[in-house]
Amino acid sequence: MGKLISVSLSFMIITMTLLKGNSIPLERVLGDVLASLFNGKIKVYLSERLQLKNNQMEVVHSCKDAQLEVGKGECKGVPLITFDYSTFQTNPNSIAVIYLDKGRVQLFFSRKGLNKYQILLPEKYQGLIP
Amino acid sequence: MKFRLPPKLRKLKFSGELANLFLWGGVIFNLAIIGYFYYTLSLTAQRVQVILFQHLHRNLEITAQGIASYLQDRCKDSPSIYQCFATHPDRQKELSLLLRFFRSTHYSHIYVLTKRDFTSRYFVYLADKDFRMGKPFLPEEANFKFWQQLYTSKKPLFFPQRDVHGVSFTYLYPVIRHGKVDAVIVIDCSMEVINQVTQTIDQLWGIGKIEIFMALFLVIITGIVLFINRKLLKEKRALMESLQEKNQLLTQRIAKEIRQKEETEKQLLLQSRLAMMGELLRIIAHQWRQPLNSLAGIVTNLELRLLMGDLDKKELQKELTALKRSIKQLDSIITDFQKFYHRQQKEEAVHIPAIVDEVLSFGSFTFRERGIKIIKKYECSRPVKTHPRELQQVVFNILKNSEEVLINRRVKNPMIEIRIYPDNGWCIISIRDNGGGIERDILPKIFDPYFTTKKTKNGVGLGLYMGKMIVEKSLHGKLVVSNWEEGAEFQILIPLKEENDNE
Repeated sequence: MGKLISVSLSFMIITMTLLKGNSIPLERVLGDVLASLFNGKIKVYLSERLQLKNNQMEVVHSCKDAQLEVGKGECKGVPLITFDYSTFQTNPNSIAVIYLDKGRVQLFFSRKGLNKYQILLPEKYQGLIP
Repeated sequence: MKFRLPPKLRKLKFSGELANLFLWGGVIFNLAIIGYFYYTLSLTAQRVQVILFQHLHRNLEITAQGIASYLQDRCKDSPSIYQCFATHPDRQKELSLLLRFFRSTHYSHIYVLTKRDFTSRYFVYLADKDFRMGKPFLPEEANFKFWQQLYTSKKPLFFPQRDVHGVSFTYLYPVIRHGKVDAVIVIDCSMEVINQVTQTIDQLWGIGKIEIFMALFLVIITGIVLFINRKLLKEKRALMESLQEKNQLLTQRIAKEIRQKEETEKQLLLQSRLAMMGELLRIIAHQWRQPLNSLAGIVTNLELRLLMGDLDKKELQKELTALKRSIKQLDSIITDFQKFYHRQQKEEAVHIPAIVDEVLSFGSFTFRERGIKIIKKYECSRPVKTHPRELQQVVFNILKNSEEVLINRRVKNPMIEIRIYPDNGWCIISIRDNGGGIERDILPKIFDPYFTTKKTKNGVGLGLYMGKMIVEKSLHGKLVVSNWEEGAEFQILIPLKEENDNE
């Protein structure tokens, strides 16, 4: 019985580890973007359910306290990183969009949004402004 | 026509070496099969993959060429394809429908891109199945060099994908207008079918590898066993050869021993016969004494009568008759001796009592002289096929032994009882005396050669030994000894055979 339990647990742990490694490329890219765009800790309001683990990010539950919104674009006057290209196109607060297209991670920045919030685009993201 | 093995192989036939040889052949054959299997399987897997890949590549080429020619044809009046589609939205829809038409299980995505600014890292959609003209598209970072290479080489590219979900290969086909890459037709291949085939081949290959490994393992084990077996067989052969040599030596030694024994037995027989002859000569000398004395008396009487001159014719006749009788008696003794001594090679049908009587008549005077009473009880009246002279020799020996015992032990009322009677297929000659018997501790040794209790010069200890040998080997009978209440009893068992029997 003990053996069965330990085998099942091992299987579950391995499966979860594998799933975890493969299922969140967008979150990984988002982490990189945050680290590149902002210095120090940043208060983030998540308008979408996300599994984000980033030491640089402090999740807040109100747009008032937020320095950055990640998600649908619910906050006003707060820079937005969205996952939807049409929101990126229409929302004036959006500074970046991250989404998957044909299995590839798509990352684009908005010159208007970056200028509005005086955010400097690092060299490595140059050429990603449509 | 019968199949015959070559002489070399015939020698191996029952030694197990032939089986070994066949097994070695099997091992080599197996190795060859394994090698062939390995070669064929790897070649087949590679060939299937190559064929499928070539097929896919050709399909991609045809598809891309079709789309490219459509684009070229449709936009021949426009400065660029992008402008062509931007100014004609109906063409965008048309192109999307065309791309949908080309979708298949082999292709995950099929779309057309272009680059409006060559410094930018991203492309712009001309069309895909969802009419998304103008939307940016960022190629995967890992293969970015291929995307860039397309603009310099201006030739179709085909490269594998590792991190793009659902895509195995990407095919890039440049649409060249005015010497420049004006658009890129991108086909992401799912490779689902090829992957399934490859996986199946890989599985087969995996099983094949296990099979090859197992077969190799078995072949190695068989090889080791055969090697050990070969060594054992060599040892066995060496042992067999040594055994055969020893066996041959032993056979030679046994044959030599048998010859020596036969020679010894011949010598013993000769000695025994010489001893018996001495005894017979003693008897003859004794028996001759009486007629010789008689002859001497007659001759002396005749001389005296002749000197005195009173020898008449009648008296002379009477003395001559007496002379003739004595000479006849001497002749009879010699004839008897001759008969007794003469050995016959062939068996003859005889009456056992008559044979025994002849022996008795020869030695009866000594028995009589020494006061030994002879009691005869004869019941076996059937003629028996045997060697009579040899039987006589045995009977004579036993009688002489009894006589000596009776005299030496000074037995009162000495007697020898001779019974001849049939019993259960045997004619038994029982010779018993009342000489007190043989001591129990020497009874088992009595028939051993050179064993004697006699203190006289004649006692060489061969008489009873030779007697037993003659009875058992020549007469095919038995000679046994036992004690009865008053003395010893010797029994000679002669097999009762019909007169016309060969044996």
